[in-house]
Amino acid sequence: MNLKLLVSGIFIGLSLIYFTAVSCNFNPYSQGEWLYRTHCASCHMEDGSGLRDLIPSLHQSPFLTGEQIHSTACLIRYGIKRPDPFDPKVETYPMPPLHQLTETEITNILNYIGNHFGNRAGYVNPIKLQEKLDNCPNAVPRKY
Amino acid sequence: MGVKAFLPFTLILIIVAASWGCHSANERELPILGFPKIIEGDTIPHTIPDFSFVNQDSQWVTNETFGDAVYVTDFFFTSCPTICPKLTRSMLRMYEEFEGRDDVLFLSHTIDVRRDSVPRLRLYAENLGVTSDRWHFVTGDRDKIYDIAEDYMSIAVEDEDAPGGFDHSGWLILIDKNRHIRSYCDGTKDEEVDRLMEDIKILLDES
Repeated sequence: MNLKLLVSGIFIGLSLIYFTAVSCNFNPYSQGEWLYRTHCASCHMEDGSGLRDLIPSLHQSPFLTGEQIHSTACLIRYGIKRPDPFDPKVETYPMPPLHQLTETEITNILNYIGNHFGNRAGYVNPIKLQEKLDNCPNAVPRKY
Repeated sequence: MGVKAFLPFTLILIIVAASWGCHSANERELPILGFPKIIEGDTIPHTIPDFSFVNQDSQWVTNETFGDAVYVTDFFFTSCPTICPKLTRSMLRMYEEFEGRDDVLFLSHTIDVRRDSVPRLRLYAENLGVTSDRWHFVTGDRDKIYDIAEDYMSIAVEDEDAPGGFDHSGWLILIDKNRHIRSYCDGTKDEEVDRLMEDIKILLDES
């Protein structure tokens, strides 16, 4: 009887400590931040500042406003393609596509960058995001 | 006697240790890196061989271009999707740190000579906002660039499996006016780049 009380006491105590610790360090964008570092930061940099006129900065980006952020999902999935300025017959990807990311992962990246780097896009609406992704103007079938 | 007798010794020891510490911090010398060659009994330190490449302004860049200046060099390509932007940013940070000094120069070799023509390198430099007064982006004969990469103790190879089609190391290498490698760092790590900038200052004080 006494042992039972002790065990449950310890259990409750530990879980209290755990939840306090977790809620103190609560970061709503942890997966988004991790995915950003993995897939985006090598060009846009960890601090989102880009590289002068070579790579756009994400700070206060017009692509990361409340109105635009859902369309930006298409840029992440299919990249930005344009003719090579020195060889117009060849198409190049100034921003490479990330076909491998799921809708959820794209949502998490957008939630992270849309609410960092001086952007105030608010949360992404997953239904709206899915609609945009189904009708991407720059969609190309994935090559395996 | 007892503890008091040891006090002067301890004090002397502390002073010696402290001055030794200062000594080594101020007089830090940069080694000459690379494997030396022994020719007829003389030890010749590793030296960057003659080179001539073409820069973003269609001008020849050779060893003489750098004269009495020290320079930092790296290997990159303009369409690189992996570490190059970070390397270029680190180079840019140093370029800005030594703004206005013509004795600290920069040299970036493209390893994608087929695509990175002179106009493409020029556009890259313009978009970066830098000029060939202090930063040369060079192209040239592919094998000569790959060979000189080895002299800079770097790697540059074509590899279909690598992202973007090329595999290369992310070293930034510091060369003195006698063509010797004096320091290097991993260009993707900010704190290592800070250390390399300190090394540049040490090298400048040396001459």
